[in-house]
Amino acid sequence: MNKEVKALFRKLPDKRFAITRLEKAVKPIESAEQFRRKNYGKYAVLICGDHKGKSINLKFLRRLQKKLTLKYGVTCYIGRDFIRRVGKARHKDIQKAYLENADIIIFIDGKSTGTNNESNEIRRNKKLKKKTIAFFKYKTYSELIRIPDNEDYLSEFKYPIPYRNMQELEAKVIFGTKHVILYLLDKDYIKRHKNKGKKGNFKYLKSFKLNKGR
Amino acid sequence: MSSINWDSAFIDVNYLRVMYYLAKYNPSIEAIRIAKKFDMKPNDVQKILKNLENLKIAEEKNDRYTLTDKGLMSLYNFHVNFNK
Repeated sequence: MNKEVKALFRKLPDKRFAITRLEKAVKPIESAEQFRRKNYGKYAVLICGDHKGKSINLKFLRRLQKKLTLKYGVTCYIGRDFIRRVGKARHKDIQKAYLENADIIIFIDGKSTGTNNESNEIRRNKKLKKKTIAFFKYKTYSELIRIPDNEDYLSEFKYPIPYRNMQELEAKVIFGTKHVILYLLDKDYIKRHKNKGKKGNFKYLKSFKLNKGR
Repeated sequence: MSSINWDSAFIDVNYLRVMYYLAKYNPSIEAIRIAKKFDMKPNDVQKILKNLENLKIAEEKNDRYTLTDKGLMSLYNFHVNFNK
């Protein structure tokens, strides 16, 4: 997790979370739903990609992680953090950690053995594949059109996202992450309210039936 | 104090105070320390912490509580958007 976020709270004087100040902060929030759509931190995002590539490397991944965390408030890790947390590097342990702790996986296509192994682990597991947004690079439109015929593994992802350069990749990763988090937040909200609605309908139908019988 | 959902915890002042305290003095805080600091009943703090644990905003180990990464980042979002 990002050290800057921890440091921010550690340095915060106690008066910044005094009851009167918090009451003031909460007052303009009309409902809990208003905070819901601002809470990009609720789902954990895992970024997987080459650590030693020319353009995709640990420096790039760390910079992207920092941006997603500090600028957009996303709970974000890179693959290495997860493996360190598990403490073991066996594929089964890694797969289990990814399954249990990552809500969204950002997979950036790469050439290193580690990335290829990660790609295999993700594609072999239906649940992991379902929560993965895969990105791949292309140079020209004609190359892009040919890719589905040449790259077998890409067709295993439902909607892989193409990019041409690093700027485009970064923008698309941020867009994809924000989009999926908001999609999940909305889905969770609708599910909760649907259940409430069902209970209401049931009560209504019950009283309707009773009245009809009289 | 009944159970609460994730979003409501971030508009409840008592829950926010507890989360801020955990974020500042992370990790491993006992309920009694928070109760003393905010002059709250230890039972009320314990209930808040239990609810935060159920929501996976906090985690407990040997009766000591720590904010989870998701909990900390959600508080960060609240802080940046509403309390900065």
